[in-house]
Amino acid sequence: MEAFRRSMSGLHTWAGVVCSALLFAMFWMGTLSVFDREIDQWMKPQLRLSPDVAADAPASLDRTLQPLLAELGDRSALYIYLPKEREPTLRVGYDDAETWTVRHLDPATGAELTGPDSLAGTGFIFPFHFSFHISWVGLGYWIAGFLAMAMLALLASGIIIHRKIFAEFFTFRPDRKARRATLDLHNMTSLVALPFHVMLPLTGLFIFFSIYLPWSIALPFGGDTEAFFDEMYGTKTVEAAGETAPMASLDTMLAIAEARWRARDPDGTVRPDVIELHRWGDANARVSVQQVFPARAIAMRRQTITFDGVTGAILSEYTAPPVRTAHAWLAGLHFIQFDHWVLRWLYFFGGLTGCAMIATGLLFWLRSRVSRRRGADARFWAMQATTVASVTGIILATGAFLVANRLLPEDASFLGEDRAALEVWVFAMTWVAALQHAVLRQAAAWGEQCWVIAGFALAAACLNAATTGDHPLAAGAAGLWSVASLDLALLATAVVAGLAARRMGGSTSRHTRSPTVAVANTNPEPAE
Amino acid sequence: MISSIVCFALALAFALAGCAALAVSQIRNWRKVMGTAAAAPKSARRTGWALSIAALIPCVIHDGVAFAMLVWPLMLAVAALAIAMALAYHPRILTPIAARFRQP
Repeated sequence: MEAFRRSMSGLHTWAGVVCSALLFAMFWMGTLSVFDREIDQWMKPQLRLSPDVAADAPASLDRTLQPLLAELGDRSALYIYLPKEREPTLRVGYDDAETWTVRHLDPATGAELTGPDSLAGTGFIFPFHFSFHISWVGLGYWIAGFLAMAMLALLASGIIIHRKIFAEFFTFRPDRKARRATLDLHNMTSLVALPFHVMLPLTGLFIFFSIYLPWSIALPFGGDTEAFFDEMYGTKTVEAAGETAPMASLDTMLAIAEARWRARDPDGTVRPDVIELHRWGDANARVSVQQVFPARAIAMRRQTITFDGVTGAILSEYTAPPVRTAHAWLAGLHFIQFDHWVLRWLYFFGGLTGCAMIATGLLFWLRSRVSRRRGADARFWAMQATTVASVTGIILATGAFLVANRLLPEDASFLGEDRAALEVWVFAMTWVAALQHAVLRQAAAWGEQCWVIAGFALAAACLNAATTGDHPLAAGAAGLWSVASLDLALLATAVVAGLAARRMGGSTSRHTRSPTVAVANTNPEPAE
Repeated sequence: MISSIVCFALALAFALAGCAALAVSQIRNWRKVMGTAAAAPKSARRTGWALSIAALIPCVIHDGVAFAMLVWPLMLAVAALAIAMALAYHPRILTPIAARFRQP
């Protein structure tokens, strides 16, 4: 048993050292993704509509969408997302020459909501979480999958090596040596939310099963992925007939769909939320009215009714088969698209706990190396710099991302990069700068970067008030709770980061001085 | 809205009480909170488990079993962290709770 525990300890240490930097990035971006739509509203002020607008019955969809549909013509697929509480705008998405394009309309007036372009939460933070924006040969998905497996291995090995789980459940001794306190915190943050920490990587892996286990599709469907998606998701590709025809009313189709679903499900929980238009304007047009994101169910079950675009007659109905529903339930645990504010905040708290777990794990490893008197070797300096850059560095870079969003002018462009791309460049370069800072300043960088985080968080909240006028009181009065909450969260972050920076400001030690100073002290003639 | 606040406040209250009782049922924490060298009473542990599980009930009433099985463990996580922080920085906060289990 002892040998097994030792080997699990070795696994835990090495998996932790190798993977934690990227794991923290995944967990941090995942935690923020809980509120990705709220971040969208903050970063793109043109989308700030009060959710009460969505609550009122929307104006006629036909009238609202008519100008946009006339412009976009008969694309093979056009997706209309009906307004809901977390996203009160009418969203239209389509592929424009291989680029996914999204446009927002005011659901009441039909006016297009234009403004400064930004990738924001759903375009930058959320995809960063599951692919690190590495799309080359899908490498980003594979890295995310590898990290999820590593996380599960880390959790399992952590449980095995932890001897007294219940006896030490509530143990946190900040008065003891830093190394002991750090380990206490690492154990505690892992244990209190252990079901959460296990469930998320596991469900994350399930979401991308078709990437990691393509044979699950190849064998039953003979490699015909289209047949697979048709059966599991009820999608069908539509060929254009080439001749135009007048289209039936979308409002009528919505009403029919709602009535049919309500007849089957009297407490009215099944409502349409996505409309797919295929070859709109063509004689072969199809309209799919779907429910994809149920408000009070975990499973993102899909119900679809497909109408003929010209006559408005029902062509087919689709309900997700049992296997698909089971998968949708597992995916729904991860995607959390249901309406439940308490649970959403609890997931956010769980995510932050996970970030704390990873950060304290890395810190414990660093402190262990210091206490073993390994001294100033290059691997320690490198690991310390990497740790600082991966924890405070990425948080700092996110703060810079938000500040840049408020400062960049609408028509910003530099070296061929548009405004949205420039925001991402600010994020990336700030992250690199944080790494360089950490290499030079070593342990002192913790406190200094905490001050920078506090500064960016405060600046972001103030800039929001200055540039949009939606400070928390005004936003609350206008019913813009997401904007007000985010500003308050930024202010709270500034306070916490400031307190942390003050606590770290005092402590320096021989082992944590930067390598240049240490070398200069021992060697009177500098190498250069 | 009010029913939501009541249900979740009740769940959190049960969770906090349950975690506090479980925490003081451990010898190290009992001694820290009570300041004595006596053993921790068994009733604290039983009550702690009961209260922690009871926190599930308001969650089920409000949302049904499916959502409750997601809300409840995370609610317990919040409570456990809060109690651990209280033990670390202000152990005396838990004295009233521990006092209820003290054997005469």
